[in-house]
Amino acid sequence: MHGPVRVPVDAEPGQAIMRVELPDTSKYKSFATDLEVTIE
Amino acid sequence: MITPTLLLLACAVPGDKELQPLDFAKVSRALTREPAYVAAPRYGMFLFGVRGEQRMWAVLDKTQARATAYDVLYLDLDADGVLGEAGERFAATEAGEGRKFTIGDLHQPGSKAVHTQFELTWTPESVRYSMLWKGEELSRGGYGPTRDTYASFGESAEAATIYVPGYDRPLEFEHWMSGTLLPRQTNTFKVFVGQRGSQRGAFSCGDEDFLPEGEHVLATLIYRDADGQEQRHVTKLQHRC
Repeated sequence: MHGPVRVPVDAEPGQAIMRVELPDTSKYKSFATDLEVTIE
Repeated sequence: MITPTLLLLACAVPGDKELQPLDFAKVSRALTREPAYVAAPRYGMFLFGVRGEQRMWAVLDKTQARATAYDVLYLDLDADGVLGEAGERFAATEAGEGRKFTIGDLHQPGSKAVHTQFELTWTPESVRYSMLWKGEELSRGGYGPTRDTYASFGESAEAATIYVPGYDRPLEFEHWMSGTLLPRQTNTFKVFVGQRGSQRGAFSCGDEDFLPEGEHVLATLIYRDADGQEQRHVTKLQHRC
């Protein structure tokens, strides 16, 4: 899956986390997964 | 090499709040008996079951010790830890620089499920597999955030690469070339959806059409602002690749 992600204007450069999960309304279950990202 | 255009798959598991992400450090690497290998073996494992309780060893060997390619696969089909029993040795066919093992139907240990079109491909860089889960949904691995992270089998049983095929468990996620976000512009953030493996490059996923039309993935960016305060920004990932 993919989608556009706009980094908020108040975000400082450096390490951050993208927490990815399915919503409660989904037909399926998921474990929230923390993916490390770098904001340049 | 399969191109992972996708990135969505799913899990056919009803909600089970007791389930937790697998702790691969706790997965037993015990092997009761192994065949006499010709070359230095390479170890992999497939986990099946809602809690990953069924362990199926997959070990690569060579027909000639000095050969460059791994062209023999031992697959512990009955998951009893005894490797090399009748019907558990597979020969490869050439696939470019690699070798492909065609297993076909795979009867899941501890279950009545039969997965079909099971194939495993060795290349000098990585090991990949694919199957039709219960004869219907594609499940394949191992993937990582970039092509150069795709995993190979390990050099010992203790270092075996573990894959979790299919949809027995709640879904997890992995990067696909999305580790860097640029400020003040729109970034395309991509994820695999599927099952985490024991290491980076061992992720299992399916195809992008598994989730019903209209379903999406939530991506929450957790970051720090100029004051050092944690902030969150939620985005919906709605597009199939």
